[in-house]
Amino acid sequence: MEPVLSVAFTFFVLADVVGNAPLILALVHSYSSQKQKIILMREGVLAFILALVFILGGEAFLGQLEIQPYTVNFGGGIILFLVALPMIFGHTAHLEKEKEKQEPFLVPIATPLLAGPALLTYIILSLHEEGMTPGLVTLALVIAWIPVMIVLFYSPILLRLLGKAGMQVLEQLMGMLLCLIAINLILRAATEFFQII
Amino acid sequence: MNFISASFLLFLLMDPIGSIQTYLRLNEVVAPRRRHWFLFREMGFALLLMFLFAAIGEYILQFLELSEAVISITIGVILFLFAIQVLFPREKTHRSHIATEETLIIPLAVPLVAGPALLMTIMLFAHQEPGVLPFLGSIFAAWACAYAVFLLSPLLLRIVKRNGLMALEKLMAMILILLALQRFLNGVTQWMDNL
Repeated sequence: MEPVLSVAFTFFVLADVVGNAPLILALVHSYSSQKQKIILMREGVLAFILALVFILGGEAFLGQLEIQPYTVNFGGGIILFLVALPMIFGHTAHLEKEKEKQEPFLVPIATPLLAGPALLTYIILSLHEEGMTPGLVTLALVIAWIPVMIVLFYSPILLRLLGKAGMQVLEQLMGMLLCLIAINLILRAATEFFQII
Repeated sequence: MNFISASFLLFLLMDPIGSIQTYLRLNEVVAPRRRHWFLFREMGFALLLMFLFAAIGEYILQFLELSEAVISITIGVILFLFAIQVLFPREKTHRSHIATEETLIIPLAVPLVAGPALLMTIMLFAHQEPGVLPFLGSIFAAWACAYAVFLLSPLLLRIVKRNGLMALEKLMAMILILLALQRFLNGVTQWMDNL
């Protein structure tokens, strides 16, 4: 049971739902609170399904296409960076309208925020750990995801506490944070890459 | 690269799953009687184009004196930009093409199915693969699967609905981003090896 709990804990940390919550909220702040709950819950479920699919077929899939771990980090980093940019450089009215048309779906909340390259890479690593089977890894994922969904569900309360102006400031700050995370991922990928060649 | 890997890679590059929404939209303005012909014609042209590049790819590479590294890097860059556009749409793309009448070749055959990244990959394979026949077989196998995806797309629409298709499109885009980056990095590695 011990290794399962430790893997579950790592999953929870990598999903970083608490750290991501302000970020995620910034992405959905322009929707009604009813809609927000739907989006958050849906993305939580989608991320879970994605992680599950990855447990079952991820390694085989990446191996077949000869995609290296550093590529996963690199790709995740770039995507997060592109999500961060509009958050930092503000919105024009035109972009606000576009946001209305394109409700975030799967990307970027379910992935790469919740089930991101770190989590997905760790899934592959955990499958290789002593005594872990795909079944046990799945169990760890389920254990980890219960608190994830709970935090997601109650996070809009944070939104209500901050108010509209507060959310805009939060969005800017989160954009910067996301940039840092993204560049970190990219540099980590670059380090790995240059060590290999 | 064995038959299955090659076919799988080519199938992903054709990205029929990601193109389903566009295909359905294009199909709407085609007369129902003509729809089978429309798909057959578009896919047929794409296949011919792919075979053409398979045949002359090697000569183009030699004529332009392009190394494998250069091709890999270019494939990576173009595929990456394409996939990023799917994830972060800005203005009109080939995907958002609003058709008022039946289209010819553009955009379905080219660039959606037989796009630049796919054609360049075929050229690269032509250069790398010693055996012609299994390679053409991979192209045909991938193409047949893509055809099947398009044929089944209305059924898929009914199962996963618009949102499901959108999710699949984005998921495919993420896979393509990984593929693109890997190609790019492989190219860079090769280039650095040759320095």
